[in-house]
Amino acid sequence: MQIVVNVIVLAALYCLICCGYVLIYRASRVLNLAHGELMTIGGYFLFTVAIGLGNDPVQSFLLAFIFSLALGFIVYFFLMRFMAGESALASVLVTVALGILLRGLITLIWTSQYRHPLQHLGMENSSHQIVEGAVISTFGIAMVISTVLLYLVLFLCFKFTRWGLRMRAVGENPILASQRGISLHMYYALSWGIAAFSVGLAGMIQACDSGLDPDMFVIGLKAFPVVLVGGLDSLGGVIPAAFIVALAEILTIHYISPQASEVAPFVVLISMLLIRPWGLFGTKEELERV
Amino acid sequence: MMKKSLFGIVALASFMALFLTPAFAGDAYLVGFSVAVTGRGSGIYAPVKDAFDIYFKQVNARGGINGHPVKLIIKDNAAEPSKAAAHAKKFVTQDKVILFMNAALSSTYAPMVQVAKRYNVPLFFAGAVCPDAVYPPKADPNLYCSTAFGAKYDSRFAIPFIKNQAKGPLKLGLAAMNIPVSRGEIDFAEELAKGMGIEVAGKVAIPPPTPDYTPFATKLKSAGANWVYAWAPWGCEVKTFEALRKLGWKGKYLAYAHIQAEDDLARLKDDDFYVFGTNAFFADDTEMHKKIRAISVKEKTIYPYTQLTEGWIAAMVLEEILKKTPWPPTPEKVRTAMNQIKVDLEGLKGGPLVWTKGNHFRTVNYYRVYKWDSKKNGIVIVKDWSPLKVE
Amino acid sequence: MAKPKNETLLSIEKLEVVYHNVSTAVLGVSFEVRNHQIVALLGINGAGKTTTLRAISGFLGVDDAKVTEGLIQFRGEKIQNKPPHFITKKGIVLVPERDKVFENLTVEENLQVSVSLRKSRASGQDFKDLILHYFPVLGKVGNHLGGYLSGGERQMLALSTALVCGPRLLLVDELSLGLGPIIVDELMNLIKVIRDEQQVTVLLVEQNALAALEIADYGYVIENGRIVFAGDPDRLRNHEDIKEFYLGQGERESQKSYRDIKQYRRTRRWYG
Repeated sequence: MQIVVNVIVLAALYCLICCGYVLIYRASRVLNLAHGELMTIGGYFLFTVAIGLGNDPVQSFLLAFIFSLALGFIVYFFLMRFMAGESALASVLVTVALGILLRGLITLIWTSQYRHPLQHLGMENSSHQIVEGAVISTFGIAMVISTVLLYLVLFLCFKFTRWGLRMRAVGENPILASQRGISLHMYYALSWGIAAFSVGLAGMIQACDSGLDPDMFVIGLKAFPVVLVGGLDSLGGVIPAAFIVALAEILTIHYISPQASEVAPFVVLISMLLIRPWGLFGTKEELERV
Repeated sequence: MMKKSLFGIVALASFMALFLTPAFAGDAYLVGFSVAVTGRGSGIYAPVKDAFDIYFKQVNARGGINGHPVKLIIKDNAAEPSKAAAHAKKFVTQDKVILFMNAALSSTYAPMVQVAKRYNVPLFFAGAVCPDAVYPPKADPNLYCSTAFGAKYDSRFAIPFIKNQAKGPLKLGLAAMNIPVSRGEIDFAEELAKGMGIEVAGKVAIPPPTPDYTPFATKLKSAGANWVYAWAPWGCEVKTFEALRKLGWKGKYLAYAHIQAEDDLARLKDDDFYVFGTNAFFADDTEMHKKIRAISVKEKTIYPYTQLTEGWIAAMVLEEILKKTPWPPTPEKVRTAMNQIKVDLEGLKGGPLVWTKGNHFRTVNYYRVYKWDSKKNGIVIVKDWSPLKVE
Repeated sequence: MAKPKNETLLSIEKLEVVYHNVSTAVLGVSFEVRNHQIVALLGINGAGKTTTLRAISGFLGVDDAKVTEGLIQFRGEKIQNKPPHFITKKGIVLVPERDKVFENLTVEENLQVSVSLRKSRASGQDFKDLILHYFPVLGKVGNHLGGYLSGGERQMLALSTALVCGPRLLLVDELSLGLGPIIVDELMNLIKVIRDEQQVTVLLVEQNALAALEIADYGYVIENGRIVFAGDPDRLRNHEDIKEFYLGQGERESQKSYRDIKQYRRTRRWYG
């Protein structure tokens, strides 16, 4: 039973991280390789705000959310906007450079020490028993609930709100969308903002659950196979893919060997590439671009 | 006519002194230091740089060593082997250092070791894992290490300690990070344990980029371990422990005490979290500790004073090496000094650090075990300095 | 606030468009579109019609092309080489030849997606009622995905989504392509009705000259990047060469010798 809980929590983390990859890719066909760094910065925003406000979790989180959202917009308006219309490869390289820049800034501002925002939030990461033999931590619950809420909100917005509709239109055919009066820059910026917010949220929860240090960005890379397995342009595909990869990892830890769990996501990815290269729910045409 | 040429000579000499001195630096002990101030793992290595900065600032303020200042050429390699290689080359061929140092991930070692061997200049590892070549019986003539933890020795203390501490039947869980040195040590510990008749219940090697340590902790818990021994970078050790606790595991944990250990004992306040190491904690509050704390606060080091011991010890060792290197210094003289060095660490370790020609790690390792005591609301010594001969 | 009938809405003067800094697709094209007119730009495949439309609507950058000479003026304002959203905001909306609807959105959603440019005019719902009035078929297929519509339905949807924007000038690229003659007639008539009732000016780019001339007020013939003939529909219909090359042959390439084609001189006609 504990294994089931562990899979759910890990899958939730992957979903929260990968949501951003898909959003940015679907909107502007850009692969954001600075995603892990945005996650790390989210955690550091929470840490700094928590120290500043002291023992005020609600306000700390809210403020950190705003910072992450703003960072997404800033990254778009001051950097990625100029890559609109350029080749996909050039844009990806720019995100790589952005990642390096962010990593440098993080170490410069916060040093490489391990940080523990939880200490300054006045919260505890206690354990809760769900059923016999299955325990989950407070922030494990937070991870799952956040993911569920975020996906629900995104699905509803994309289906039923006008801006969600326009976001889908921009993702499908930016030229036509532009011709119909839709401001591409606004929707690209929105996708970057939401992506930075969602992955920043993942970083914040991680920081509280497990600790914060500049190397957290590697987790962003680790989540990447999930996106390819689910289909790079499919938000819905992330969910089954996250479960499959999380399940593979955790079963490997228990029944094969713990060190092999590093390889498990890639084994899943390679299998998917052999069977169905565009992912579970991706569109075939997207395959060339990738 | 004479006055003019005299003026010209003086001008020329001043010009040369002004512009040629940096590369020449004839007056100082020149030491190169390539350290990961940024990049992977810099949390471990950057504090060493901090300690060196403040240590040698006050050494030079007191007039230097043997009447000469110490000039440290410190460069950030960001844990990248290519940068470390470039630094090594520059230190040795351009700056003409008498000795150079490394504090970074082991991936940066190979190119630097190559330079050391090729140009016959000693390379001193401080705060970074000691390469195999520094251990007895035949240490490499140019490689030296002052780092506190040592593979294949630490577990020789740790496993008997656990056996001694355990009340009732012992089921030992083992945790490593999935990097060669950590996995190797835990495998070695497993052998030791089995050789002592200890039942090994679960062994995990955890990949470095792990978001969630819970699955690995689950494996150890479900294997029924009541003691867990971890030998890995601190993050891995402490996160595995915290994951175990979150699962409701009530057993005891022994981890190697890296530089972050003291602060985390206070953060976690867990009576069953034991840490063992060869460096003394600030909780001892010796004169030396007070001194380090005072200077760190005064100089506003980037990293907190609790993490500076490892670097401070290395700096003390370097000072002693240079003291025993008569002027004018050469790499050969430095090696001679290093092969006979005995450094009194004034309470920072359990005894002096001693190197010999065949042993560039140390002749004796003194281990201590600390833990948090909630009744005393502070850190206590569980087992005082126990020497282990390094042969 | 209706503009006088004679006023020039769009004017193209000596337009030159170059692709990849190498090949010139449009060489000195001049024509104009007056307010409330339906103007037809006729020519065979590759004549330069689509390039001209792209130049007007601002989408040249996508193909690494640009206007190197000449002027495009809309209501007196220069708009050549401006970005697409700037031009759309001015009230010029393009119904493209390909990728004209959002395939993964339903018909309903396609109509909702367009941004209305006329704030002072009727609201979005009124526009939708208008669309359903002109294109009742779309009401029946409201839930179908854009990608699954028939050719005729798709073209209707494309026109509708363009109209929802409330344009002053509607550019239509190859309306008749791939559609049967009955549908083409129906659509052409609808455009005329919409022009009459909604005061939209229309620039039609067509290979199917016959169909276009049924509703056009004026027509230009473009060949190899140059305007070679101009006139009202009667004049075009009665011209021997036009009859031979454009009214009998539809989409097939001309089989006359090059020498015969060279007979065309660049002409320019004004209303007398």
